Amino acid sequence: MKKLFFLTMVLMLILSGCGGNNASSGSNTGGSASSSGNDAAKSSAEPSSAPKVAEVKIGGLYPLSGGLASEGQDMANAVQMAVDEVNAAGGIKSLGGAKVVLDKADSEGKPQKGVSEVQRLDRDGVVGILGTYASGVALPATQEAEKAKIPFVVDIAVVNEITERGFKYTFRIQPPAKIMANNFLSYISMLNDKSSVKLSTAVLAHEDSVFGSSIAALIKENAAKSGIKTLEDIPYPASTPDMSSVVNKIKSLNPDIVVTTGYLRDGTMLIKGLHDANVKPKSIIGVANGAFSNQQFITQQKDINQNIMDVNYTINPKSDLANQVKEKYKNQFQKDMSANAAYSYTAAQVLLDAIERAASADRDKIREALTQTDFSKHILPQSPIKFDATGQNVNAQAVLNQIFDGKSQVVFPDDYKTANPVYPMP
Amino acid sequence: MSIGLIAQSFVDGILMGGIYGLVAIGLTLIFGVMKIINFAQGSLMMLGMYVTYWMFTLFGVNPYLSIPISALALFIVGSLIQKGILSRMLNAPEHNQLLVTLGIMLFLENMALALWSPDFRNVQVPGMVDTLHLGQININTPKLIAFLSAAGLSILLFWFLKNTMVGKAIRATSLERQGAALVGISTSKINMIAFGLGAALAAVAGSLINPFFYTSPTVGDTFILKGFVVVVLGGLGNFLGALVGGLIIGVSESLGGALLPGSLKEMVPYIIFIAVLLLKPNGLFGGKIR
Repeated sequence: MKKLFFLTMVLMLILSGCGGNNASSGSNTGGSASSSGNDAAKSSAEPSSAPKVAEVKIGGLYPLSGGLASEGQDMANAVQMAVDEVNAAGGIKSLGGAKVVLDKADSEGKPQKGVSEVQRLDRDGVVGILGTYASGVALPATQEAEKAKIPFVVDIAVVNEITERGFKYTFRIQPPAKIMANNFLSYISMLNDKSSVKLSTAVLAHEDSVFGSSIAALIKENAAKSGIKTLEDIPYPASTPDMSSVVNKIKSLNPDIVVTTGYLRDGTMLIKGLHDANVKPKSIIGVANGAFSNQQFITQQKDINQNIMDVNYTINPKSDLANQVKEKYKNQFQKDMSANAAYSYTAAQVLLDAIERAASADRDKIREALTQTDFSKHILPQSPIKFDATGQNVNAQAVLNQIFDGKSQVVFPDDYKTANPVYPMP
Repeated sequence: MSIGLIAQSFVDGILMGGIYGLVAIGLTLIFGVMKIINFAQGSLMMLGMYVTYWMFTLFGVNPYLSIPISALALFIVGSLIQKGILSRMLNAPEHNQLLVTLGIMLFLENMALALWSPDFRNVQVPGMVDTLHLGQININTPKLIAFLSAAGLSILLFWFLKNTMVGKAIRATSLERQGAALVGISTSKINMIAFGLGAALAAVAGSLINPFFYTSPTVGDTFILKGFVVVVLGGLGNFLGALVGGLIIGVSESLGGALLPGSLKEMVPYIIFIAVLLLKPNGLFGGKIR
């Protein structure tokens, strides 16, 4: 009997351990990138005259199976679309019309699988990699790519550290947690400036892994500068079956603003709980919220999601080019283009643009070209894509979305807005 | 801290506790009879949720009316799992049995993932008022229904085990397997029925949870850990213990969430759990099935 208990406990530990996909972050071994000579085969093949390359291979590392499969598939499809467009337009012109081949790799959303797939892509001779969606995969995968000296353009992965480790081959398109938190604070002070009613107290409710906690910590640290007083910070596990204690606490604190970061299921439960308990904060704002910018929440919870805001990355709603791309994507894959897919499409364009400018299939030359990126024919709500010394897209920004009648509209900044903000909520 | 907050948290805790109890009842029945710790219980519940979801989506069947269907479907699935796999393992070492149910769990979860994708799905019961307001206190109607059903089911099971032939045979088997076989009870059949019943109870729990909780292939994981804590707290193999255990966990979690800062609330139920086991190693009502 004792043995049985012991075993049960061990199994429980195993079970609870495999719940999340958070890779331990941080290990800083970027400096000692030893050239293992495996890219020698690539560059030495070129004769000294004009480069003649038949095809260029790039890797796409996404969770194509497992719990994040639906997002991963969307993103890989978007990359394929960008690659097909370049091939249809005559391939990489500076390389004599070389065709681009996409080598899809499945990370399954697991860090260790991401690393081994980067190694495989390296052996397959890719000249650049795109990915990864999950931050837990991005951290070790970019590290592996750094070792092998493969340029890695990260489309989506929010954790700050990805571009803060001194890596030379890592570039990121998405606004990281830090920028999203700062965007939130500047948007809230602008909303307060414009409105006759000033909202000043906030409760931060967030899921308790690095994703929610890091954003909440950044907001809490700087809230006072934007005239916001944080009453309390309520972390909860994303897998919780019950959000009522979070709801009850918000009810008793009675804040002006509820600021929340989480995923689809917990975010929906929180809003439903607030609605059922008749809690009516004057504003509900998500930051990088997995629910409030998700079509399922936006369209299916119409009766409770009116006027909810979200600071998040998105497609530029005002660009004709973006609308064409969205339509093409929908025709090809029978699905609306998600913001994730739009970022993957853009990341692929940025990498292909760099290959074109490098006029070479050499990884180092492509990396060099990436650092010189100045890409403005994109579909994101920002000025040209340029990378700073750390590889972060310097102009990356999140916009403020608001849900009206089952549709999400951009309400801020003015350059991209399709509707006026309603603040505070009536 | 206002009285309103505490009262509201208490009510929420009781309702949630009933649901934990409901999940735990099936688990405790299977353990009581077969002495198998069934890790697949959460996955069986997940299958029950999908039965209800598809009955509603495809045929418009009210989630509460689909309970008998999901119960019957899972009774069959459960009996087949017992007959096909577990019955061959009854004399194997306990840890082997445990690992087999873990394998079944992984199989069912990944099967659901392949068949129905990882999307979150949810049904809305047509024409139901979501919340009742009693003065300051709000009561979530689907949770109330689930709670009342949990209480009703445990009374019904209690009666069933005391007063029917099958129930008596189940109790006899749980007390003394060889003795029961000697007096002519087909213990292999009883095992099948018990596992089938356990699976059916999981399905009923799933169907009742459906209106307020999202269905997804891994939904079982959310409940199974709490389910085990509840079962052990109440005493393995004891229904009323499972219900009481569920209530204790639910209320402590909810009050802890209201009164303690941050993530500390997650600790409260487990502290109580450890404290109870230190004082009563067999759980609150530990002992044989009754």
